[in-house]
Amino acid sequence: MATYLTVTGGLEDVKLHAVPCHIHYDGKANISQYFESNSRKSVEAMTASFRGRPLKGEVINVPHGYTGLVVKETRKAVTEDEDRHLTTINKFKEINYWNLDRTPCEDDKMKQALHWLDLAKVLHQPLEDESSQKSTVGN
Amino acid sequence: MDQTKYEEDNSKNCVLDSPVPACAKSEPCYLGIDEAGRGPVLGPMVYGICYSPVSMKEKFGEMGFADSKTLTEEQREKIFERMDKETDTLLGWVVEILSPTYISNSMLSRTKYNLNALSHDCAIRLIQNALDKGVHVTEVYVDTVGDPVKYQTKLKLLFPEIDITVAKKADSLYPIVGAASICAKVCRDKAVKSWVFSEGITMAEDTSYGSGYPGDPNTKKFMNDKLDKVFGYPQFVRFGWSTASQLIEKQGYPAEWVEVLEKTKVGIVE
Repeated sequence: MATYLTVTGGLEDVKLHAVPCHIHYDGKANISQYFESNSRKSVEAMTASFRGRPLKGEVINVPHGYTGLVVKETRKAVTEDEDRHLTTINKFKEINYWNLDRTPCEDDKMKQALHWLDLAKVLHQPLEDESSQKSTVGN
Repeated sequence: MDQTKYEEDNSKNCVLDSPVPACAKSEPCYLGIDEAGRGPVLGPMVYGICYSPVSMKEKFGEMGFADSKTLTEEQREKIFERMDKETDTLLGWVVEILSPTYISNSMLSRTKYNLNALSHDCAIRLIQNALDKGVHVTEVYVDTVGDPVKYQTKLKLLFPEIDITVAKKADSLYPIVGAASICAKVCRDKAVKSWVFSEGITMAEDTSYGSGYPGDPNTKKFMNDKLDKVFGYPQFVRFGWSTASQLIEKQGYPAEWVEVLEKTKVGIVE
């Protein structure tokens, strides 16, 4: 199975909220009206309420050199072996990340996922012979 | 009652108060506590206190604080207006508005904070508020929430210097509690009536939300008309009430909280 991503030009920046809740719905929602209207941002904290539950949040920036993309699967693959086709619909620079009644911390999966980008960079960087030898030899 | 301060952000709690009359600092005072809007699924709950010098009990009684529940909304407003004119000589009042968002969030937080505990804590804050203002409180009368004996013990431990009476129907037994009840009720009625929806929802001029109890046809209509399938309800609604949660479950899109899901998974593994 392969995944194909079609990137279209002229993508619009959108505001993204990641809530700790699976809503069984895919489509437009009255976010500014019902959610952003009750979310508050101060120096110390970001708070909101979703379906009566208290949320605590943080803005996570998309790391430098990366672009956040919102993709859509035009036709859902039926089997696991089938290729998947994704198309970009929007882009984003930051994620409003929300936890259920808990201040976001480094243990959160979203943050750990972003750490992978740094790790991946180190892992995939071509080794320079000299420097690697130097470090092996030590000082 | 000027509620501008609460209207600035009606998702947050807000304390409103009268000036403290000089006599309340120099003379021993008795203080009454009562609440309004505990049961309804709509709007804030309001806690109120009223205090006055013990020596002026007779004059205070002349204000006519009958059981506030037997009074009409207009009568209560008139009495409150009269009370508010006496805040330099006879009495003082403080109310705390507990926003529906705060109530929802408390009841649905990680460590559940139930309505009784929430009520007790608010009463405690208000007694402390009066003491901090310099009111010379010697007696406190409270309409009970939950078991009166336990509540009384809790308050006595916190305020050992004060003579505390917790009773059922205290608002009809003690005029000072009746007065507190009027402050709370006038405040709650006004907050509901002049509610500005942060969601931008506008209601027709003559809209009544009803009593806020699930059986009320106006309340029912509001709950049915204003449901958003993704977000549930505007912040005016207390999400912790079964009336609200059942309607969302029935008419809204299903939603599963990630942490509950994780727990379920663990259950399967085991």
